[in-house]
Amino acid sequence: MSPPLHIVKPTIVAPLGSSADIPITVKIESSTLLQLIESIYENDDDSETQTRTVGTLLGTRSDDGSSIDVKECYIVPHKEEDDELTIEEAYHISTYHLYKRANPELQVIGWFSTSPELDAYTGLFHEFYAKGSCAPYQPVLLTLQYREEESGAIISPIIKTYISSPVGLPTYSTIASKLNLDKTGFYAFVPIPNEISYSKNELTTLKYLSGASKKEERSFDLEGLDELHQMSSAVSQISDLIKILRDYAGRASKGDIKGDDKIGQLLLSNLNYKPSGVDIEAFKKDFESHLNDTLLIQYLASCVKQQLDLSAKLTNFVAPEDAIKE
Amino acid sequence: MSEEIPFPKPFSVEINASVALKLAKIGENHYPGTSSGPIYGFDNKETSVINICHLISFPTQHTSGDDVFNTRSSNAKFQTEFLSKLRESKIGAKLLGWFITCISGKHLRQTLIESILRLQETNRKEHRDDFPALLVVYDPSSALDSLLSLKVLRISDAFLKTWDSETRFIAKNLIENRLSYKNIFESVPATIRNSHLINLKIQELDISAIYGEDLELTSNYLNGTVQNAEQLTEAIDNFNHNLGNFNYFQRSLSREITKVKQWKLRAQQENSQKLKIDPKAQVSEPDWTTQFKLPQVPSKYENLVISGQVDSFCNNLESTGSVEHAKTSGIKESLDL
Repeated sequence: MSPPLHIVKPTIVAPLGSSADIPITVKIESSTLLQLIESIYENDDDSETQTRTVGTLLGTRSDDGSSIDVKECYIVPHKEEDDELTIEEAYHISTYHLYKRANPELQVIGWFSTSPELDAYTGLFHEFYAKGSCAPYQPVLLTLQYREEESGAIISPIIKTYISSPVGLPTYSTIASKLNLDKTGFYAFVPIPNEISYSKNELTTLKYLSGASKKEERSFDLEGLDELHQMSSAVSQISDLIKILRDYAGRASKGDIKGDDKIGQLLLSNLNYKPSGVDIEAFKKDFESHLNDTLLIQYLASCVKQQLDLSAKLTNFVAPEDAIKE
Repeated sequence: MSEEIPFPKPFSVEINASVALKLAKIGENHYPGTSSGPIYGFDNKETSVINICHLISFPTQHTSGDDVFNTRSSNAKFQTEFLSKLRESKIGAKLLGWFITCISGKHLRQTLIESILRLQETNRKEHRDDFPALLVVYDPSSALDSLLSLKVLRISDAFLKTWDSETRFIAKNLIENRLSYKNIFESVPATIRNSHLINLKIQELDISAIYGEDLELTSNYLNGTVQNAEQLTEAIDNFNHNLGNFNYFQRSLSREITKVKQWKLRAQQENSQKLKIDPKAQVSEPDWTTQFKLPQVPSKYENLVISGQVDSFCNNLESTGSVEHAKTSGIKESLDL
């Protein structure tokens, strides 16, 4: 007779006993996402002892444990040999402490693997994190899949996140010890949703990365990246959009194409906006004075620059020994 | 001392996409403060490309004093430890320099310049490595207005030549090497590159669908300008202090020179009188150095760095002002005010 199978409902808060029924979401900062993807390149395909690159995820947990922010990641060296798995624990711990020094709020929240497969090694890795630096919390597993399963073709990396629950009898169960079951490394992985978070600054940089992604050389030049240039390209972008919208509206009104109601509503609410409760004269005056202030600052700044230039030309440093010879 | 500086030229810098993005995040987390940390990567001697592939921020930031880049500070130990971690995980990397997130101009500080020079020196002596140390400057405040401000800098040759010469920052050297406060650093051609997989992912994310606020008037301009103006006043105060020292030095130097000349004249007269009385008398050429001590020269180096700061802050004010001006005028026109 086989022993019954128990599946504990996964909770992130505590390994056992917590009844909190909270959905868990993982938020990955976009900068960390790119770091994770770059770690795929560290895969050593020739190595016989490594089928994947794994590493630690650092981040923060919300107070109720319902959401997790992934903020940093680093690769941890390991070896896979037959049934044995060696993880450089000392490396993992000391690197974590380095990151923690730079940002004290970071905690170990889980691990990542560049292999989408959930195999026996995955269980072993997971156990390492669950019993080690993640305790008493459950670690999160993040997998990156960059090859299509059947064809092996390179695809845009698919990110999946999992939490786990131990499968089978608890380790301390008397039945387990009676039956002499080896109870290590068995987990049921349950996929949990993840999303990518963007901050304002990240978005600004991402805008350029996105522009570069459409180009052959996959890069963009930092040369000529001055503010006015950037603004003029933004202006031309917007005027292009307006042109498209105009064209669309024109064709829709002629009845060439069927207009989208949503776009119509959006246009109506935005274009019909009249500033009410604003004294136009006062507003005009405010605008004018703001413009003048801006110009004044520019003027003063250029004055300071001129003074500086003059001063640099007049302040000549001559070694005193040379001065006396003249 | 003044040997040729054999940096391979031209060389360019390639920044990994993840590094550029991490920098944005770090800058934002510390804004409006300043943050900095080491950058790591490798150089390719054949293609003359330096690749920046890792960075981390220092545990101790610019809150207390100016010793962030000091070799004796805990940060120096931190950056070596992190490097050895990278190497242990089989990522071939070396220390390339530092990044700093601040408004442009704040990177001009003596401790930072000296750290870069020191790193360059060690690289050259110990590793026979001719690539210059880099400084990546990122301005988080302009990113809030959807503008990207990211520069890769190195110490200019003009500065290096002046620094390496024996007399350093005297007028003759400055003129010969064409060094002014405007070219202590010079920018290095740099690109940000997506790896193939990142390229695929970014296309999938479709960032352009997210609405940008590039052309909106925001209160950020005001905050930025206030911050900038404060920095400028501080820099001008320092500048005036330095200039005051210089003026004092010049006054006391000219006083001393007159004294020395009078003394020389008197000594020569005494000598010629002695010779008149006794043509065989032993006379010595007057040596003023035993009698007088010339005043200490104030640091022109300091003056140069502060001037650079003032100049950068003014440039910031001008460029953010012109952007604001363009935006405001645009809105004004379209509102028909």
